[in-house]
Amino acid sequence: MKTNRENFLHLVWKARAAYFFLLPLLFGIVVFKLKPLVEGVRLSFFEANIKEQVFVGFGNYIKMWGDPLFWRAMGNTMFYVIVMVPLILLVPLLIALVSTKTSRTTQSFFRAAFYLPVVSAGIVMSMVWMWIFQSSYGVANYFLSLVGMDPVLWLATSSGSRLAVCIVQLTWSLGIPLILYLSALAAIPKVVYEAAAIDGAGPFSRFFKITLPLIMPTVVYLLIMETIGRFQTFSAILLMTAGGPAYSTTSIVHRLYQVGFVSYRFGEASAYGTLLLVITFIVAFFQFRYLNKKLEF
Amino acid sequence: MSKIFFVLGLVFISVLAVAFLFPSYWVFLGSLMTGITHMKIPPQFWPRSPSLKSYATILSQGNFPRWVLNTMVVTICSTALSVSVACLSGYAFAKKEFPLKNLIFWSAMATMMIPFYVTLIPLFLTMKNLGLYNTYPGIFLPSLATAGGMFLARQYISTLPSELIDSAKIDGASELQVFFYIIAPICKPLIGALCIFSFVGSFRDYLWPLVMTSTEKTRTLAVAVTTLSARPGGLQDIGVAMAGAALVMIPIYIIFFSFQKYFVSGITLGGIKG
Amino acid sequence: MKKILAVLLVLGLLAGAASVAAADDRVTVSFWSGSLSVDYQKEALAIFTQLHPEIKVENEFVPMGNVADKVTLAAAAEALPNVLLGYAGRSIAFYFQDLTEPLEATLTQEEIDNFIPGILDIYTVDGTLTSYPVYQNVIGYAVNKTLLEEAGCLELLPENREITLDTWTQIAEKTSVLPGVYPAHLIAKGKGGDYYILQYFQMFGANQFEGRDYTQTTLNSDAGVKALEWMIDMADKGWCPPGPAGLDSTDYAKWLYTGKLVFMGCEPSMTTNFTRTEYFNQGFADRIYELCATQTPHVEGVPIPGLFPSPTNVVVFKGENDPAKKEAAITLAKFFLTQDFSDWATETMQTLPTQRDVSSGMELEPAFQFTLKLLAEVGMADLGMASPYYLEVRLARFPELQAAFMGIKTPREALDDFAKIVADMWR
Repeated sequence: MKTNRENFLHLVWKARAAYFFLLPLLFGIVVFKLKPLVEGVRLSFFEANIKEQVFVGFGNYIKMWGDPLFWRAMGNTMFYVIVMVPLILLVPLLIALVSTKTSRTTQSFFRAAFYLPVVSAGIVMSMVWMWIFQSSYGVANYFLSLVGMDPVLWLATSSGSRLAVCIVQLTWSLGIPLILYLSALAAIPKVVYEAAAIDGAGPFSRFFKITLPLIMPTVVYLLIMETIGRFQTFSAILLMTAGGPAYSTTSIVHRLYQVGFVSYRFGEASAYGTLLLVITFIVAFFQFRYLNKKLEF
Repeated sequence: MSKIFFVLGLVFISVLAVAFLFPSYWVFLGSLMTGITHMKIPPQFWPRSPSLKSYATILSQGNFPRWVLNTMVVTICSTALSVSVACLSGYAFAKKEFPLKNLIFWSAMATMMIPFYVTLIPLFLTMKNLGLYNTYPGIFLPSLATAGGMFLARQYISTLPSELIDSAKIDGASELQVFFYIIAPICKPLIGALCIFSFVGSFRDYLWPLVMTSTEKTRTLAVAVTTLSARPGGLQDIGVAMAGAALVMIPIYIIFFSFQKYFVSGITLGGIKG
Repeated sequence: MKKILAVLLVLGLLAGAASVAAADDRVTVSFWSGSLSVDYQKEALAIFTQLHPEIKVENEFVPMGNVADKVTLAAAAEALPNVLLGYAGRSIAFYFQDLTEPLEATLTQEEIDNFIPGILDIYTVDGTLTSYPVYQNVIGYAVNKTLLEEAGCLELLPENREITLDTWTQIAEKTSVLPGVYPAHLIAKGKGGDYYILQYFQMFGANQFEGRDYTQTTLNSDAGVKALEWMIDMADKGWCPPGPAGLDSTDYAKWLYTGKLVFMGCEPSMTTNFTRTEYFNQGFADRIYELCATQTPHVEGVPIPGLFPSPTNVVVFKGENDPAKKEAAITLAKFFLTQDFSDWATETMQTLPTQRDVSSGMELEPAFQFTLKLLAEVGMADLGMASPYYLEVRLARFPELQAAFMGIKTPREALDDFAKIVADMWR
């Protein structure tokens, strides 16, 4: 009778090929990501500036809990996730579905149009966006005036700023889902649709019964990755709104940056980061669990 | 009926596409203007007197070829590493069972969930202690840890029928042979997508190369062009800033357009059903 | 394909591992800066190398926005450069993080006396000189005379260029009718340019700190509340560009050069150089505007406010054990105080020197003459840079002002909240 330990080692030996495949990833993850992650979590229990560290247990977390700015950031971050993730999942799908019915060149155009902004995200882009959203002479208000609407004080109001952040982030976020959707849709053999059409299935039925299940792995990937990503919304805020006005656009990562790299309170910053890790993990884990049940291969 | 939806949809996404292209257009526009013509009120949508002066300023910097070389080395190595690691590990998670599978998977996933600014200092310290500061590997080695790539590969490979592997094994193929001769060839769209994502990400990466380089020896294009537009007192030469951004964007556009077909064409899985 | 990748990989690793170290007798010091452009940095260091051929400078340009990141990482890795030239607010923050060497012992009494009176005090904390002020811009005030002419109220501008609130309001009334013109420019979004809005607080006699006591702010005094109320009124009247809560100093330049602003806080060099800059030559403005330097505005009964500095300082980092390098670092740091450098700096960048017998080269320019005279009379205003929480105070101030401009809080609430945050920093 084998003991549990012997059984375990036996299984490990049987599966040794798998570990071999995993070796480079494991090496990279452990050295370059896991070690810093553990260090970051550890630091969250200390009060730390550049030179010294003092153990404070849960002190940083208690401070965080009582800090209204943390809650503002948390509220804004939840807003970004709840608003943007569905859009990032659905709009590219729509684009993909429509564009697959167009000619090859048109498809190419759409692919490029939505992917190129991904390439150009950065400091210069934010300069351009700030200019676009400028209240007095920006292009956004110019176009609004063309359709007879009043100019919006974009970066001077809470709602305008949040909208601006979402718009900018969306231009950076639709390209990759689109490419993945196009790829996934192209992989579905035409015969499947033909068979369904023969059976008299309408477009909606075709979509929900055939298309969606077949692109599910892509959807799951995008859902989880975008959720993780949007929880960490940061660049658009840093470069365009500075977290304002009056803290209306700041996010967890943005606050983290301010606390860590402006005020040099690395322990607190690590606490923000660790909390975000925990929240994101729980959400992603259950997304994966729930949706993978629906996949049968 | 569905025709109407299609037309409406087409109009909608066309408008969206133009809107999405506008900021990039604005960058190229600005790169052709000098002074602050770019930021004039009312705005000029077309350059009245286009000038390549900003590009000349950047390209005439003696180190421009070096920056390009550095960027290419780092980007190619980064892409090669991350794509191969992603495929290898994605395959393991998709098609193999082994002890601690979930633990390892979720540990890898978790590394994506902690904000970069928290891990930046410890990671930098590690690289410094390994003697990799201001070196090429210092910049591209962390791309080994591609949890995202692994996840995408896993999703993709899990849709491949396992019969392929089983029948190959029955025929006596080893693990590596199965991977390289059966799985990898049909992963072309995956590899294509991974390549372009990794290439783009690495090419335009700013913060990590910024902190990891200190001399022209390793400075990448994205970092270098940002320094060129700076003027004393925190001001900027806007034309140069835009031209710099354009110079980072153009090579990626070229690669994107050239290699589109690799990551877009799906493949029919009908091959096995024969 | 795979082979090519493998070869590239190996080449990359080799290239990275190979380090070229030329045999050199010179002492090497490392120097970071983001305040000068890349070219200017090379020029300045070329002058230094001529003066001190025995010292080799490893020079790195660090973009201003990333100085904090790079220095923080370098500090954690014990790889700090020897000398940093940068915006004073940041540099002093490094001192408070215990990263920089105290500098008071490195100057002879003669050198100390050479500084403009009072300027070293601003950077001295508890008897320690945190950094050398190297050059600075001084933020004064100016009025667009051309617009005044257009509005037919040039006579309202007094000979002595003193701007009282009454004068200000009269001029504003007359000029605001000009199409697209704003009397004032209020910015509350932050990212620098603090002085532009602090000037209007000064106008009513409210300063951020009094008597160099940084543990509490006096911005929420009655005068301060009045100032903020006046500013909000300004915004409501349309006398400043809409949405101050969303404007920062980068928007500023656009209105300035197109002659849309009547009054503006600015450096003297702006008024002198305006007609010479490429901004005009690029057709950005439809004509040349005459900007005229004035006193910072003040309400009657309030003394004429001091001028805000926008200084660039040099610091020497700790952690250098090699005595030869330590000495070379000080030599390099002091180079920025010499006549050679100052001549070059003021000529290339039209900045003001921080020492007395250093010529600025701009003395003959009327705007500079005016500003220097004014500076001698009213002195410098205190931005609070010597406070260990300077950067955090800045970060906290703007959101409160934004809240006031957006109507979320009343001016008194906003300023009181700000005062509370500042006080909390010291707990």
